[in-house]
Amino acid sequence: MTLRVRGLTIDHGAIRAISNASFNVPKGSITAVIGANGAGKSTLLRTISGLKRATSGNILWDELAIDHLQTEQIVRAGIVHVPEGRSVVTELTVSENLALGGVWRLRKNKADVVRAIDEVYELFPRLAERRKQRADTLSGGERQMLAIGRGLVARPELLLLDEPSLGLAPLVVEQIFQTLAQLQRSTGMTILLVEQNAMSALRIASQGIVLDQGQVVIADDARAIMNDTALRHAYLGY
Amino acid sequence: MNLLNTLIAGVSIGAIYSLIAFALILVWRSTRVVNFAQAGQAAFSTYVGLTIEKAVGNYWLAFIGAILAGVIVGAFVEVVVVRFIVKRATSAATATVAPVIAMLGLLGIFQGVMGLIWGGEYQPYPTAFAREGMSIAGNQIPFSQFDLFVLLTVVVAMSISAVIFQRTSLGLSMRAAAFAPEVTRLSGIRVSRIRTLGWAFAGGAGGLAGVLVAPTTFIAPNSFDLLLVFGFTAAVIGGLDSLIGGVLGGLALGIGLSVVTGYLGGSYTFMTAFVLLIVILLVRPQGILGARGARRA
Amino acid sequence: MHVVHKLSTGKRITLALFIALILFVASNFVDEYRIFQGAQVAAYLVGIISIVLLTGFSGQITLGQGAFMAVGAYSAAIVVQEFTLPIWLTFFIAVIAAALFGAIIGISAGRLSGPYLAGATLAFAVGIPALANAIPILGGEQGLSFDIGYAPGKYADTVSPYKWLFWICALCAIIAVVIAVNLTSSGMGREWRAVRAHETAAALSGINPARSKVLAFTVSSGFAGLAGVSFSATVGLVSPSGFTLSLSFLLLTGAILGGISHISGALGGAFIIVIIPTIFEAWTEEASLGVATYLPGIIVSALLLLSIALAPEGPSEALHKLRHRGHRKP
Repeated sequence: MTLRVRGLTIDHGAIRAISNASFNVPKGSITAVIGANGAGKSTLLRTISGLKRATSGNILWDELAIDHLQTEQIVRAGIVHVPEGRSVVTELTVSENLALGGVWRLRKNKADVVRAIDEVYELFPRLAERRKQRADTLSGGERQMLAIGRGLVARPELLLLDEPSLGLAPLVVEQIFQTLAQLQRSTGMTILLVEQNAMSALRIASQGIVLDQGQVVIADDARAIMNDTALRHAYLGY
Repeated sequence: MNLLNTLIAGVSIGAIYSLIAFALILVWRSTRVVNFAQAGQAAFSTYVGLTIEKAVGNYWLAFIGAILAGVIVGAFVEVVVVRFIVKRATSAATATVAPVIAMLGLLGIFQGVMGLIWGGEYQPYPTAFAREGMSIAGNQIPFSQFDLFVLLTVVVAMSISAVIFQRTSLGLSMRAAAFAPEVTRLSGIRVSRIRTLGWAFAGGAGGLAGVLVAPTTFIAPNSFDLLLVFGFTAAVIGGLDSLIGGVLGGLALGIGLSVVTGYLGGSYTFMTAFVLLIVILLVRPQGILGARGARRA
Repeated sequence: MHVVHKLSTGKRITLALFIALILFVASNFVDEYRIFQGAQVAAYLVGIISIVLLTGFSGQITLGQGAFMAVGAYSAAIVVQEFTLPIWLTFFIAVIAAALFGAIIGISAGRLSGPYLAGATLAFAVGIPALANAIPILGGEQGLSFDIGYAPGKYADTVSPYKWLFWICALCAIIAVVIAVNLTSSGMGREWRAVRAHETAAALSGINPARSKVLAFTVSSGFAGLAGVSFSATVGLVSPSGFTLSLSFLLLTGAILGGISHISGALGGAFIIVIIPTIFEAWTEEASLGVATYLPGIIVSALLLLSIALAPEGPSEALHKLRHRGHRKP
């Protein structure tokens, strides 16, 4: 399934966060959305996942218009959003956090949920070691893994990741990005990755979308963007 | 033996305070609203039980009926009133004040409606168990069969709740929805439904508390107001954010008040609760088991 | 009513004297029962003002004004038992006693917010009357009698006790309103509003939030004390049953319905809580006793609920927004 965004405009009260954005997220690949702080990247994801309503424009998931659906329905349609800031439930244990991702599917297919959780433990062995620990005892990197893991348990067709590298050590960031690339290759899921760390994101992505002050400046092959030094200087700061 | 007697006597009423505290904390954690209308909901449920009992003559049907009524009323209040209020609160100042006042208004409506339907006089509520103190080894203790029933029921209710919360996916959803509603929504769980369930659950607990306390106090539209204050005190003592704390707080309060009544006389009972509440609010507002910073609403 | 805030103090006092004169004249043409109700409205008005100051301006929710009223009333009653004092002095003592109590409570309650504050004030509301019941010097359940007596000297025959009562209560109410309006348009009022809106920001602009809150409690309680002694004057008695939780709720209801953010709303609120039962007495003459007893309470509570649901900032704010909706910048 392909995500298509058409003419999307999103406002925060009097401030226009996104103006007239249009792009496709091709199926089975990693698309990186990059841009400076405040460019509107997080708002974009929050609108796709239904936490925020757009002012105008459409979001289509294949033929299904999701721009007016509730978040819970969008998750069930196969789109899972891992928000920024290591969004784990700190009062719950690691296994409970992961289980949370599968609750909505429990009645339909409990066995698969169990399988999905095991797959997450395989993907992130550090989480397996800390299964019974409360989430607030985890390090920053481990929490990010847990948040991503919870998203994966929901077996998403499209995974929305909001700045997974924020506040993490470069080594941990690399580890997570490699895992993501590997995950994408093995499962064929589509990933929409929002990042300030443009270089790391573009390296694992096949498409890049550059946002500047709420507008889509360019949507192109990731390699092309990386090689375009003028573009990089202007919008990505390096 | 005197101290032991007062301790025992306090446990039974303490169990009821725990139930009320439980209901208040459940709702507070999931919605950040203190349900001052709980007194009215509990009284309403108890009246329903009374009506069933008078119509059918079966104590147990009435018992279950009252709890069911509590569940339904709780859900109803959440869907019709609370959702609307919480959505409309715009500034931070209003968000804390508006729900309190709304719940008080609701309480007034409940009490008026109950007066209309059932009248304002105190009515006795039947019990299925003996209310005289039991005899153990020839000594009479101030603990009757009925008290034992109350204690056992509360223990069973709490155990069932604990199992549901800690071991079922529903309980997981409820806990997650209370701690991190946005993350829970993003996990595909209908948080609004979960909230309604929480209120329904709390309503049931309130109804149960009502039928357990009614035989000892008679029932009138206002009769549970004091109970609410005690339940709130218990919740604050234990920590408004901690279910276990509330339960323990209820027991502690019940026993403490019983000791005071036993040694100083009944007119000091309320004062003691009041003083205890103020002391806790000043010294350790997050309660004995609550986490720091939980005082801010 | 906003226009009143723009007047200078001198003009406000003139306006107040003018209103006092009107009331004085009018009281000679109205029947006794209405005059008595007028006294009640005056007492409630002062009580509601105390809530407007504490909750509307300083943002501290209070369910316990009844307790502060009781403190004022009991102080006055006790003093009168021992000494014979002029009325104004008695009332003044009530105000001071209640304000002192408010200061003490405010030091502790000022640190609380939200449901904790609500719970604490709730505990006062129930605790103080219970205390009064327990302490013998306060007259226990029977309470202490409190009689304003008759108009002095030669007027005692021509002026009925109800009129005398009304004049005193109305005068107190007018004085209270003037002081309240002065306070709220002054720096103190602005300080309260600033702390209410954003405590940290207020602190950063040099306001001491804790002190501001305690001051709010002190002033508010003073007003409540005045309300309490006026209220007891209308009843002739100071007893625990006169200061129940229902009274605190009733005042809060009046404040909300009238508009908790402005002093002007207090008068409307006071009228509502006195008039609604009267209206119902007239309508439900045919209806059963049950309906007559309970329907007013239901209607008032429903109004409160609707009011806070539809206009959480207060009816006046909602009206304000409605009026200015067309003028918002795009």
